[in-house]
Amino acid sequence: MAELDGNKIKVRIESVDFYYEDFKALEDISIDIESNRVTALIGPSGCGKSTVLRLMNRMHEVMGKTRLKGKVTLDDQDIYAPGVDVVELRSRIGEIFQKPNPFPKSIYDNVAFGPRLQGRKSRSELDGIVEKALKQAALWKEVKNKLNTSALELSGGQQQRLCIARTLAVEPEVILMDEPCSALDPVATQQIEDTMEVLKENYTIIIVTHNMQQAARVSEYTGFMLIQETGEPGKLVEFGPTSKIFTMPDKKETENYITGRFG
Amino acid sequence: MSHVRKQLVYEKIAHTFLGLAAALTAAPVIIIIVFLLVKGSAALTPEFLTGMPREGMKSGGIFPAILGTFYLVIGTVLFSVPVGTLAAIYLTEYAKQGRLTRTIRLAIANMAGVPSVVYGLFGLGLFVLFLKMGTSLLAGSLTLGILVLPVVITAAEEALLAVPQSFRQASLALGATRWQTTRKVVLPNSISGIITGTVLAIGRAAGETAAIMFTVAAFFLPALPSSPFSQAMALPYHLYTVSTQVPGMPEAIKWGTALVLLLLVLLFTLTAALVRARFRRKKRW
Repeated sequence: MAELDGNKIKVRIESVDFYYEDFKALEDISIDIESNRVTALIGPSGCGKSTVLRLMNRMHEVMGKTRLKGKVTLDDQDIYAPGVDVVELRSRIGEIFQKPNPFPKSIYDNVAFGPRLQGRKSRSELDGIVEKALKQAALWKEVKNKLNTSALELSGGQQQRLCIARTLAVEPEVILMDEPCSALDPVATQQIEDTMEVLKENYTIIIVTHNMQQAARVSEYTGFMLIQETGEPGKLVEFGPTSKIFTMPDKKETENYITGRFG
Repeated sequence: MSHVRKQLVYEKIAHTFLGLAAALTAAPVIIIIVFLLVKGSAALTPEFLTGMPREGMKSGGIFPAILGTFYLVIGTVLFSVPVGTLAAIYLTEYAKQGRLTRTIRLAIANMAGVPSVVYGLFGLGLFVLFLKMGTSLLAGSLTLGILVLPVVITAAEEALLAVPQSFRQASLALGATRWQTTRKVVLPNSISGIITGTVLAIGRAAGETAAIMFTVAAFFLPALPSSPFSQAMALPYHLYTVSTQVPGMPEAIKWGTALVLLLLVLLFTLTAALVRARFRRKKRW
């Protein structure tokens, strides 16, 4: 088992209870996420993995009435404190969605979207940002000669890497990935996983995945989540180094899940 | 008869009746167009289109009415499309869905059902008299603008809602504000639907008679309108007067006026449809 020499804590979720309207979706979640690591969240459908992800960029607030008890910090700053600028928060914590969702614009305009929001308009500066982001997302070679064609002409895997490039162009510190490969074939999945391997040198990555092999392959830390029954809140059963979770978990439920006995 | 055979017969019957119903809805339009073309095309001389009315409108042209309707349509669009689109943006992108939005939507739905003569009287009371605009293009345009607002809002709302939620999420997750998301992602992808609403509004505005009767339209004017505060002639009202108010009016003028009104609406609609097609070509998801 590889030893992990604890990096600095980037995001800290502290005893969080979370509600959609009156429905308690999460109970007593505490996770420390180290910087420059890939942290995976696994668990059966509906256990609240994606909700945990969205706590960190407050994207759940877009969907409706929500309430949070507890504390979530980014670099020790409470991101739910009054006066926190959600827009700034989201430019520091990017998100890759389950289904690739490029805008119906050109490849270039997709990547330049974020920097343009921040008022960076000069063509040469944008050219540099776009190229760098596409290279980081391992898409540059495939698209460098057709930057002005529509992003929708790309394959699903390319679209997802474009979405990664689009997020990288904003220069976030943390990247949230919500089952980023669930709509992709194995080859495209492999490419995304390779990309993540490189990205963690500069970014902190949190990935939600249904695919346990994927979690085992890409992550240093894994959290296993579970709900007892539908209507119950999701709970974090176990969190630790991926190698430990997958070889000698402390909890019976974790072992049952990773050995495929349910879920 | 086997069960399958019976279903096939039903299928045929359904097909026939559904087709008939569709044909029935198209028939009046076709009949009206053919009728107008046959009876009215003889009147369409250059003088009829560009001249002033003469001899108590019994000869000469209908240019002032064409121009008046043109101005009214422009004025209506200038008022209703921005206000309607902004209202739709508020309702779909900003407002918390709840009792307030339900009430507003109910009000809009009811607005669409108010008879146009009521709008005419409302315009007379508010714009012409209370706001002292007088019977004028401005008062008429505003009245028509309010009349077509429900059409514009409903079409714009549908267009905005048709933009996939995932686009909004992507934009917000990149650190865009709600307004940036609306302006850079939602609006560009719903523009063709908003133009559809505009087209419908134009059709209503150009053909509306009762709403302009008290607010702008003049029976006859010796001069063309010179400012937004001028009274103006307008095609639908002109058609009404030449058909019912002037004895001994030549048939050709009545049919010709009706045909011109139809063609004008068609022209506006076509232009808007072309613009829409241009935007739509770019949209694929």
